[in-house]
Amino acid sequence: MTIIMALLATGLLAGILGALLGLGGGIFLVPALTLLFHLPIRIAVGTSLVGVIATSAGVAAVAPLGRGADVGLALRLEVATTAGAIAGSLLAGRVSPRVLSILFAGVVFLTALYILYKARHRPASGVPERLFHRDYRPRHWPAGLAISLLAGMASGLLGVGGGFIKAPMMYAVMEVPLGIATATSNFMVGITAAASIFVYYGRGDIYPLVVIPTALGVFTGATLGGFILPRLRVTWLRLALVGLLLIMGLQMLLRGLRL
Amino acid sequence: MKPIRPTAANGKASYRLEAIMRRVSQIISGVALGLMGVGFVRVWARNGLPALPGEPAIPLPTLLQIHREPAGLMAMSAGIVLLALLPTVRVLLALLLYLRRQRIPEGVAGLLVLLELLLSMRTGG
Repeated sequence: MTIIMALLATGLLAGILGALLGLGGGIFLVPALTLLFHLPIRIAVGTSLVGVIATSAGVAAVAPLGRGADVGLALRLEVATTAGAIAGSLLAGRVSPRVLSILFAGVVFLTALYILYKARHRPASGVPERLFHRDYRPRHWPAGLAISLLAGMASGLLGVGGGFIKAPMMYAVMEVPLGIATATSNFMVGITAAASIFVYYGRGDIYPLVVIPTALGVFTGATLGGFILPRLRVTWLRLALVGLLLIMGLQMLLRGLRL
Repeated sequence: MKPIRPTAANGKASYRLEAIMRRVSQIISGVALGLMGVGFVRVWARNGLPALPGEPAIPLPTLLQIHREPAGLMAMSAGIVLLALLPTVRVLLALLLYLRRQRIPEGVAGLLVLLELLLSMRTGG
């Protein structure tokens, strides 16, 4: 019973963080399930993929109208992301995971630095930056599509949703408002996870007794996060995003260098 | 300066897509989580909780042969599959709406993503 409650609590925390930061929560779930619950990595990744879909569903279920995902933008980027995920699964085993970890750590650090740079160099209009607004047009499509492809490859190779790359990329590179970038990333990670989950399901890596308490926790957490998101100030969300990127980047770098 | 293109987030007409997606997400995830919960309680009530991770989910082809599998595991597996299908349903809805409005770039993107998802299902199933 204790272990079921612990799985539920882990899912709840991953769901809240995932919804607030535009991630699926897989980046928290996989290490937690392997390190705390001593589950084999394939079961952890399979469980995490269901959790990512639950986060995406939870946010979509409560998003107020006009504050949801930019579906047109998500679908265009997802063509590259899903193709990247397929390429990533084909490449897995051919490229050294150490090289990949170091490469992605570099991408993550650069994105964090770029967000900080943009925050410091915004015009001093005195008007606070808005999380959601309608008068924007996504820019720098080639860079956006290329980074989405990389995010998909990360997903296929490392078993994460790739939201930790997508949300900052849409905000920092494509100049999408942060709230919409976060909601769009939540929509996208669900699709990316759905592209991989049936492969794990078919391989027998989905265990209902582990998945269900985790998914229930994630869905509840994501629903709570979806309510909190429109009420947050952009500065807090930006700080949380940069902090998370630095932690994840360091984790990936250490994994790559095997320190 | 070029005019701003309407998107799901900034175009008034796309409120409809957001509203449909929200409703569909609520219904499908509600049914899926309900099935998972019922199956979980049934397994627990019948045998007590086995040591984790327990049994793997029922394979997709077997899932359709209802009489062959224990009801608890069947309900849990069906719930997981239903939740896993939700992103595909959302892409399909977006695709249909974009095609009806003759928004070709978004429609083509939706179709490509849908094909990629169906391909992955075929690989897994």
